[in-house]
Formats: sequence, structure tokens, C-alpha cells
Amino acid sequence: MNVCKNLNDNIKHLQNSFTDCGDIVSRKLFIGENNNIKIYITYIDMLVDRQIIEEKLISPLMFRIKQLPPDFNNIDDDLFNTLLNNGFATADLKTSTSLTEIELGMMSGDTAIFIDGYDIAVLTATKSWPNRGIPTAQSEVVVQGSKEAFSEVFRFNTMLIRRRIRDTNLKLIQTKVGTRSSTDIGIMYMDDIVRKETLNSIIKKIDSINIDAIFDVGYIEQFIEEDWKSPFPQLQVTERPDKVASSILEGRIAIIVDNTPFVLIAPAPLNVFFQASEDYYQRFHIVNFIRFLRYTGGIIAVTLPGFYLAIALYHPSMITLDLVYKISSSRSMVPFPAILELVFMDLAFELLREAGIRLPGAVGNTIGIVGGLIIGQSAVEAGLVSPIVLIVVALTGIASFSIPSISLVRGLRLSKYFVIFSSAFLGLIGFWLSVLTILIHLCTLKTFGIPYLFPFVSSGVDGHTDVKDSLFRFPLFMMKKRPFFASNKQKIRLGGSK
Amino acid sequence: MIFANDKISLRQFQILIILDAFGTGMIILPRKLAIVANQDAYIIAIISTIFAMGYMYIIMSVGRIFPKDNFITYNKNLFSKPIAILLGIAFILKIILGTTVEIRAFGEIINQTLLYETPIFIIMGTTLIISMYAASKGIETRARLSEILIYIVGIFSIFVILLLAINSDFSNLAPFFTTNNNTLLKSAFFTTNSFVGLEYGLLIYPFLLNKKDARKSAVYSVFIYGVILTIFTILSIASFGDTTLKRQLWPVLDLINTLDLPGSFVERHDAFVVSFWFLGVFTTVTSGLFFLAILLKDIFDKGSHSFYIFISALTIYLLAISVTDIVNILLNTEIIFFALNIFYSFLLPIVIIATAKLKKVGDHNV
Repeated sequence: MNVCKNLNDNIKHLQNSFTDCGDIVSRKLFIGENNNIKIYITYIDMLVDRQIIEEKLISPLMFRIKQLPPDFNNIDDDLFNTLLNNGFATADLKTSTSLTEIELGMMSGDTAIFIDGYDIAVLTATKSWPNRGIPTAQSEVVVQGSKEAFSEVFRFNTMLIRRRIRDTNLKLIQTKVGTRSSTDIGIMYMDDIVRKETLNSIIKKIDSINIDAIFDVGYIEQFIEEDWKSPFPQLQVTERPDKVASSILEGRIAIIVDNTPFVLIAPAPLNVFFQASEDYYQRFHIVNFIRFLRYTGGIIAVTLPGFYLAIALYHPSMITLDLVYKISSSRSMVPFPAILELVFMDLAFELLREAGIRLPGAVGNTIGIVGGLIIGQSAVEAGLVSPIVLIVVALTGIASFSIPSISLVRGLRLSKYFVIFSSAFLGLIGFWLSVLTILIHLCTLKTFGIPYLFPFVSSGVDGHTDVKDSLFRFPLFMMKKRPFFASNKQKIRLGGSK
Repeated sequence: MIFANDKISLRQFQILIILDAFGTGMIILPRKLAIVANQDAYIIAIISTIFAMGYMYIIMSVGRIFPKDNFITYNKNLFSKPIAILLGIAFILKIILGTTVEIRAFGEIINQTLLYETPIFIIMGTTLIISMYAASKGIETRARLSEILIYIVGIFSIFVILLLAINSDFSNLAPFFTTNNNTLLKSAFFTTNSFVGLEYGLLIYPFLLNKKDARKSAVYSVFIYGVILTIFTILSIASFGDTTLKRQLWPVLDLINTLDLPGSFVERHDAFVVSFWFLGVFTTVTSGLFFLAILLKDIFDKGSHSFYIFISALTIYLLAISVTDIVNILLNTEIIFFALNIFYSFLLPIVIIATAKLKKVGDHNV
């Protein structure tokens, strides 16, 4: 519906729309020298900054307007523009003829101003809601590097990125998703670096989302990923502004969602999930050692329990007698088959992990200690599990913690069970069959057109540039080119110009 | 998108050739060569590599004449539709036979070394299911998978080669050059059979991104495989001596079993090696299924790739479980294999090139 010239009709419409909405604040003002101009101001309480409304909107309208030249009353024809230009002491305003747009603006923290006799209204940006400021990173903690993390406030998040890239080529496309939530979604990228086909694909996918509400980046992730059946993440989720900024400079695209302290980055091949922000802040020797540990950790997290099971169940003759004796003697008191013992212990570990995350900090830590030490020890002493299984499960868990990305760890945790059951079925051949199945799946998977295993596969398309930042990270001065995500016109990173 | 084109790079093509050849052939070849040429067996490996490089050169030349056409199309254009279909069917039978023997031999090895109590039909069935899965995902997925597997197979092969070199007694190679030239050449001609997958060059050309350098790359890959085969053969003779080697069915496995690494917790290396070898066999079987589906689809000119892969896998499985004596099968099929290999790797490509030149069909500016 459109704004009416009759102010009362507009007020009536808004009152109908916001019936039983106790947080709506509205006021009718009479301004001008003869108080003959009727104005209606309305907004939603606590979504706005009252000080701005009172000092920058109401005060100028009521008092400054009277200081206008004497011929003010003779400019009735251009009253709206005069008010627009002289009546509001704020830069961020826009006009609208749509009541739906005005209502949406109000629900986003804008203040609507109607003037009697005009079928157009003013929307001023007065957004200001309570927030927790700029928090400290918690899920991606680094020793060296920025401690800032994203918050739930959309504009804070875009600011945190823009503060790190002071370049006019940093673009922000804003849209709204959710027929009822109208959640602000921002797509940030470097205009001259991004690959346009990737950007267009993301915009198209986001535009096609038709859902009532978006509450988290996870919603967007699930709607735009290419293979929903895969347990592996195809978009990177991060809480770190520095990671997003560096990704944007690589030609990748950030998707910011209001009300969530996480940002999505696309495309996201497997390699990026093993990279941490501080990999680039520290000297390459230690970084390479840590990266190698992470990849090893990833492999252990998926394969170790299955491999143990294959050897213990099917091929004990493959290992030395001492080791066979140790394994069999530790298992001699356990009344369950090896597969049950392993799965039981692993599920117990997963339960502890979940409990530790859900419970408040101090209690979560206690659960970890009680579960890990006391229950584990008791289970071994009671003969329910063997010490070697405890070691295997613990090592698998610790290995998974070495990976910086929680979403990848989730995928690996699920894959682990596939390897366990295959190994229990066919020993080492089952182990290899399951590993191959996972590998085939990973080789098939793509993230916005890029092979998921890039640059471990198909790296030739980019002259093997991306290999320099994969399993190992070359010294920074050797990484002269941007990765494959970047447009071919902006490949040079070191020694190049804008 | 850049990668969604059902095409593979030259590097991926080279890796596929090496991995395709890396089946069970590597395990049994040193023995076969020693039977013919005693301690000179490695010379046969070298000569057969040269033969195989020549075959590959001719095969890839066919692709250069018909860079965009598939096997059935260019044979139809050159000869006639019935002949093209007949050639396709014979090719299908060859691949089915080869893959069946490969999967059966693999099942036997696994049954003898790793899974003593697991029925062989389960081992073969599960391997075929995974191969089906890989083949159904198309050439790009296969190529990417090969890029990963080559590291595993490659690193492991280098590791084994280095360890074996330390344990070898190279005096077993003497006296040198005792076998007469005729025998060497004749055996090398037969041994070229072990270069599995050469003939796939007739089918793969339309999938290549860079067709210009494909021939050179393919020949180079065969050379690499030949080098590995020669090294394995030399080490087998050096470790066992030719007399012992002739008596063993799986000499490389026995050879690896002799390893004694200080501080190792591994007792039976052969079992580990076989499990790694599984990757090579898997690649060979996947190739077989993939190209079978390509040929079947080209012949019938309709139906989905996945459907033909399923039909091919089912046929191979039924044939493989009906085989009981792998040694006899290997011996009985050897001559058929040889005839078909020579035909598809050498004779047919020559005939195709000659006919194309005579009829002035295809691109001859190559």
C-alpha cells in the first residue's frame, strides 16, 4: 500500500498494522510559525537511538524551522523538500512512498516521518540497539593476532571488515532474506579481484532463498551449498574479521547475516579449513610444522579407530608379537567385542564433548575432567574397556581438536564411523574401501565450481600457485600471486599495484 | 564453471596412465620374465617398455587425426557401422575379460594374504561397488582421485624400492646378457601385454583439454611405468636369484616380506603392501568400468553412463565369481589377451591411420 496524502489515513494504517505492539512510539507534531503543518513521527522503542530522534529530528523540526526566512509560508509548493533539506539534522535519510517499506524500515530501527498533504514519507536511519559490543574471539583463538570477533550487529561486522580494507573496491551488496524476519544479508567482496561468475552464482542463490526467517549464517549455508548430502562443509564459517578480510583480498566472498556473530566465506575448498589466521602472522618454519600436525590430525581423526579395529580384529599377525601381546592382554578382561568396545568408548567421548560445550564454562570443564579422567579410569579398572582403546579414542579426539574449523571437524567425526564399520566388516580392505569412498566423494565435491580438494588436485589450472599455501606455507615473499579464487586480472599480490 | 567441462588436464592424463598400468601385473611380472630370460629378465622389461612407448605413440596418433570423435564414430566413418560396432563389441569383451581376471586375481591375493576367512565373492563385490561408484562420477572425479592416489602409491613404491635396494645382492644379476636376442625380443613383445590400459588411449582423446601435447605426455607416462617395472624386476632378481624367483607365484610380495626394519612394529610387510596395492587395482578396475560404459553408450547411442557401469560391473562380478582356478585362467587367457592387445594397441591403430590417410578423413595436419 502507498502513502496517502491525508495524514490521518497513514496513521490509521500504521495503527492497524501495529495493533497490540506495545513497543511502538508515535507522536503527532504541529510545526511552523502558525503550527499549521502536521507531522507524524513513529518508531519502535529500543531499536532506535532516542537521542538522535530528539536532537536531530524533533528539535530542528520544532525550533529551527521557525528561524527560516519570512517567506517560508510562501513556499507551500515545495514544503516537503524544504523540510527535507532544512528540517532534519541527519545525513542518513531517504524517502519512500510505500507503507510496506516504511514499516520494514521501522522494524529495522528507522524512524518514519509523515507530513500531512504529502503522499511521500521520510525514513531516517536511527538504528541503535543494545549489543555486547565487539567481543573477543572464542572459537578461533590465536596467540598472535587480533582478538576481535564479529558480533550480532550487522553494521559492526561490516565495519570490522571495512576497517581492515580501506579500498573503494571493497563492495557491500545488501539484501534482505526471510519473508517475515527480513534479515539483513550483506555480500562483501573486492570488485576488481573477485571472479564475477562466483559472485553472480552466490547472489543468485541467496536471492532464490524463500523462507520465513533467517536466524543464523547456518541457514544461508544450507541453502546455497552445492551438495547437501555431504557431511563436509562447503562454506567456511568464521568469527574472525581478519580472516574474512584476508579471504576477501584473495578474491573470496563474505556473506554477513544480521543477528549472528559468524560470517560465511565462499568458495571454501578443504584446504582453507586447515588454515588459521595466525599462520600468516608467524614465521613460516613453525607454521609449516603446525600445518603438518593439523593435516596429520585430520587423517588420524578419521582413520585411527578404524585402522586399530582392522588390525586388532583381522590382521594381528601384521604387527610384532610384543605389540600383539600387549593388545590382546589389555583386551583379555573386556567382555565385549572390539567393535562394541570402541564404538561405546567413542560415543562416550562424543557425549562428553557435547556436554562440555552445552554446559556453562566452569561446569563444562569439570565434565571434561570428570568424564575424561575418572570415568575413563574407572571403565578400564572395571574391565569394560581396554587401555589401548582409551588411548585410541583419546588420541582421535585430541587430533580432531587440532583442526581450526569446527565445521570440518563435524564432517570428519561422522566420516570416522563409516571407516570404523567398514574396517570391522573387511579389515584392512574395508579400511581402504571406506577411505577410498571418502576420497571419491571429496573428489566429486565442488565449492562454487572449484574442486573441493583444490589445490591438491587440478592445481595445474593455476600454475600450481595455490600449492604454496596448502600442506605447507611458503615464506610470504614467495607467495607473489593471489590464489585461484582471484580474477585473472588481479593475480599479482606482491609488488603489484591496485 | 572452469572445472565442470568433463575434461582432464595432461598431468591428470599421465597419472591415469601410470595408475591404470599399476595393477596386479607388477606383482607377477618379475616371475614371468625370469622364466623366459633368467637373470636377464630386466632386459625384457626395458625392451617391452620401448615397444609400449611405440604402441602409445601410434595410438595417440589416431586421436590426433580424430580429436573430437569417439571410437565408434571414427570407425563408422572409416569403415562402416557394422564394422565399427563389431570393433566396439570386441573391445568390450577384451576389457571385460581383463577386468574380470584383474578382480579375480586381486580377490585371490587378498584371500591368501589378508582375509583368510572372508568369502572371495564379498571381497570382489565390495571392490566392484566402490569402483562402480568412482566410475559413475565421471572422468574428472577419476582424474582428481588419481592425483591423490599417485602420492600414496608413489611414496610407498619409492619407500619399498629403497628398502629392497638395501637388501639386494646384485651379484645375482650376473652373468649378464646370456639370453639370445631373439628370445629377448620375442618375450618383450609378449610382455608388452602387462602395460594395461595402453589401448584406452583410443577412447580417452575426446576428454583431453590439451590435445596438442597429449601424444608426448602419454609416451612419457609409459616410460615412467617402464622404469618402475624395470627397477622392480632388477630388485626381484637381485633379492631372490632367478632360480628361486621362477618358483614363486607372487615374487614381489615374497620379496617385500623379507624386509627387516630396525624398530619397526610391522611384522608382515606383505599384508601392508597388498593393502596399498589395492589402490592400484581399484584404479584399473575403475578404468575398465568407465571405458566399458563409454563404449556401450557410444554403441547404443542412448541410456545413462551410470546404467552401463552397473551392467558392466554386474557382468564382471558374475564372471569373476564363476572362475575357480586363477592360475589356469591366467594361463588360458594369456593368448587371447595377447591377440586382442596387439590388435587394439598396434594393428587397429595402424589400419585406422592408413585408412584415414587413404580416404583423406580426419585432421592430417598433425
